[in-house]
Amino acid sequence: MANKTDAKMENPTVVLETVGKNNPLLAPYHRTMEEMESMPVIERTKTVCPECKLIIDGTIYKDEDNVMIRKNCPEHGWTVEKYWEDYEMYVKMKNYNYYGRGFDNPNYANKGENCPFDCGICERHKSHTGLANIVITNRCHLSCWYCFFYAKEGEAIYEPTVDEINKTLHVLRTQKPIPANALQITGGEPTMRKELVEIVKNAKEAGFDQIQLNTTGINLGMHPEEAVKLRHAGLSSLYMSFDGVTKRANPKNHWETPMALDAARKAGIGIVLVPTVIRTINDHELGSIVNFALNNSDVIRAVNFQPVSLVGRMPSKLREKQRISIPGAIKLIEEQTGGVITKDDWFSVPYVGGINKFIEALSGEYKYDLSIHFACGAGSYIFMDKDNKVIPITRFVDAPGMIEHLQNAVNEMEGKSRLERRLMAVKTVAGLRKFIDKDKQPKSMDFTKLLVSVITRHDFKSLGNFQLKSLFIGMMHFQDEYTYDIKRVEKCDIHYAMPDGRVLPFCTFNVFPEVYRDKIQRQYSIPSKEWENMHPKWAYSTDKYVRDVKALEASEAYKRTYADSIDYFKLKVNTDEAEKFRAERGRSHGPDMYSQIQAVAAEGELSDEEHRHHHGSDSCACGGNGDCKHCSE
Amino acid sequence: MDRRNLGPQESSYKRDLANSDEKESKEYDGIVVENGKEYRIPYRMIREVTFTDLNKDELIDFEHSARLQYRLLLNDAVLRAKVEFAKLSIVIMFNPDDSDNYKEKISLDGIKDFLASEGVHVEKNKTSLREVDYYEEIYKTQFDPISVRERPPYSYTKEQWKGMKSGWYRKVAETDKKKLDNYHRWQDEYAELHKEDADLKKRDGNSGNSVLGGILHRKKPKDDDKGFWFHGA
Repeated sequence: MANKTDAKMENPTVVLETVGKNNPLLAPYHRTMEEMESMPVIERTKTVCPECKLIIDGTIYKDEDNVMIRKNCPEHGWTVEKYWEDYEMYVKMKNYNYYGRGFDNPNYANKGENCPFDCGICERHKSHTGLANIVITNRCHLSCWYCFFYAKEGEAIYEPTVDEINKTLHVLRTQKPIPANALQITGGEPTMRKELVEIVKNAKEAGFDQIQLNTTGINLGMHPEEAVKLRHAGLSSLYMSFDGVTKRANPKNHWETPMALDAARKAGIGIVLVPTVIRTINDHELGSIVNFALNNSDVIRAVNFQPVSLVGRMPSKLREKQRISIPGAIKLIEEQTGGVITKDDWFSVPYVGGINKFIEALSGEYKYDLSIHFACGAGSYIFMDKDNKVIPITRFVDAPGMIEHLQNAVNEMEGKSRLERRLMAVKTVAGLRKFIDKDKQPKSMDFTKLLVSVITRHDFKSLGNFQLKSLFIGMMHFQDEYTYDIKRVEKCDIHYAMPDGRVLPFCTFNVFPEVYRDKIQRQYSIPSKEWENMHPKWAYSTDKYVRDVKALEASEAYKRTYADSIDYFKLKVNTDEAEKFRAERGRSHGPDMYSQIQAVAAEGELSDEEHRHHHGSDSCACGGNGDCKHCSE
Repeated sequence: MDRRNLGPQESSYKRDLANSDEKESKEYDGIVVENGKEYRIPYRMIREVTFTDLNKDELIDFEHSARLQYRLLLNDAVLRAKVEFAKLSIVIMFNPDDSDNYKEKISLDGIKDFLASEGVHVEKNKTSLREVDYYEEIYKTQFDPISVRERPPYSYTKEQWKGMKSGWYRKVAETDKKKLDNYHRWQDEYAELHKEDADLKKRDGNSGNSVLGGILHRKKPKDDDKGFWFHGA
């Protein structure tokens, strides 16, 4: 079926969506062919047709401030999608792009000619596993309307045995040249597995340093002693879903989050908040989420925003409305923090590769690469000083200058002896001081000393302590069929390890589930009836969590967490600093993007199709309270 | 050596089956045993069909060949598919309709019909079929992949790396042991601190020889410490 954009392409002079055309956020979707072809092309890539998966050429081009991708399938016509919502940031981030190392021992003997349908991983892949995911169950105690990753009633149960999981850990730890070192245990809801503590312990003993648990936090909040057991087994952090500070934005675990925070505090487990960002749904709460993290910075180590990946077919109008990319979210954070955290404070993930390369060149030992595509992830650190001043790292570190300095040293070291390298390193490390402004760094730390210690002694423990004083804010944007770029997926370093021994990049595993995720899980699943026979006391309904909202809202933890918070971004010390920074850069506060988004959201009522998409949820326009015809059905 | 250059392997499953007294009564039970541990595998004897000398016009181009591969993989009974436009060939591993498992199955004719529906016609004399032991040829190799290349650390030459490599592996082994010791020491301290919070099981003295044993501990030095980029990754 051709979408609306296709129809327009057939007759370039007709502009179908005049409302969209007038809205700056939607206008790039509603150009004529002639207008689009007149725009500057940035690069060409390979992508897929969202409809038939034919590999087709994709053109990445500049449309005013946006970077867009357009593609034309000979059978299904044109698709136009936002790739990156800020051209200036695109250029900056692209500077740090580099090709890393894939596997020396790929699991799937294949050169990847038919990428992305040759996955396993093959020789073509260009990054090693940075974060390995293992799905340990597809059972979940919730049934979220938008989630595709849990077993519905009567469906097969996917639960690899502990021995099978151990075998998968083995595959990850024997990867060459760099074994996987960070593991995320995921589901379903992984706390549904009774062997979870054993699995964590086995992973730790297999040599994983970082073990994350991807969870709602509900079970741990209810049973804090389990959090202690998991920490004892070696769990490092909870990767916890948290879509906003209000009930409406975060119906999934708003009420239980306070208890989960307390459980993590008691156990000594760090928390990474993971908001999935959907425009018009929760994009107005991004600043509040960072503020929430700052209020609980004793236990929250990071916020990792995930702009929504619109996987699966959806109406183009809804897609345009909900689409948000990394810069879109970053600009909203700038606006919602009053300019305390600006878009200048963010760097793409491969930026870190420059530092790692230097340490590797100096030590002669393989280091983690983080060579993902620049458009896949971004991040920054913010510090809170003694006077409650929030300081992004870029205010006292000249990040671009420093990385160039290190890269030059790596180039100079090429082919040199160990002694010559050490001499060069001394000179290089001494030169790092000029990139750090001591007057602007947080009073409680000496960043120069810390950095020198990390580089010369590889003292990652110091760096761990540094993190305890800071909050990492990150962005990770997974692809979907509309934005798909094969150049991105071949650099992916977030991988799934499967019980058949294959390792798959996130954006093949989840974007083409019909040939990867679901297919492999079906092969290794147990039919529902068989599962019931094996577990006579089990019933689908007993897995499900029933929330007692009144009791939860009356709890001391709930009141303490939500009522007694400080808005750090409105403190004078921070508003003054933000004002000063803007003046230095000659920038205004930036466009009031949020009001534009509101305008989009307010454009008429949702169509029937859109209603069905949100049906019965808090994100339906009626608030999920049954006032609209669909939710009352 | 590239694994693809190897000839067809003799299936130990088939060999065992041939030597077994129970060759007629033995049914595939979906379980293989390695070092006393049981692993479920969905298939055992499957089949691989190779179609060669295909018509270039029917495969159209690289892109359409890749899509054909995708479409083949949509079938649950097709475990692997490789459509090679450059070689004008298609190789498909599939779960044959006479196999002894309960998964989706397809016959050779079913595959041919599917290809015909996609506009690709195969000729009988350019079709070869062989039995494949899923466990031996797929499962085991995916869990124990061979090295196809070796790259030195950044800014080092291959020559330099040759001299450094053994030292590096030695250091890794030492660090792994140290790391495991540190982890166990930390566990004891943590258990002492939290003995009232949870019933923490006492560690058995054998953890060093745990499930995955010492062979897996391949890690950079100092890795008992915390890396700094995994907070959000």
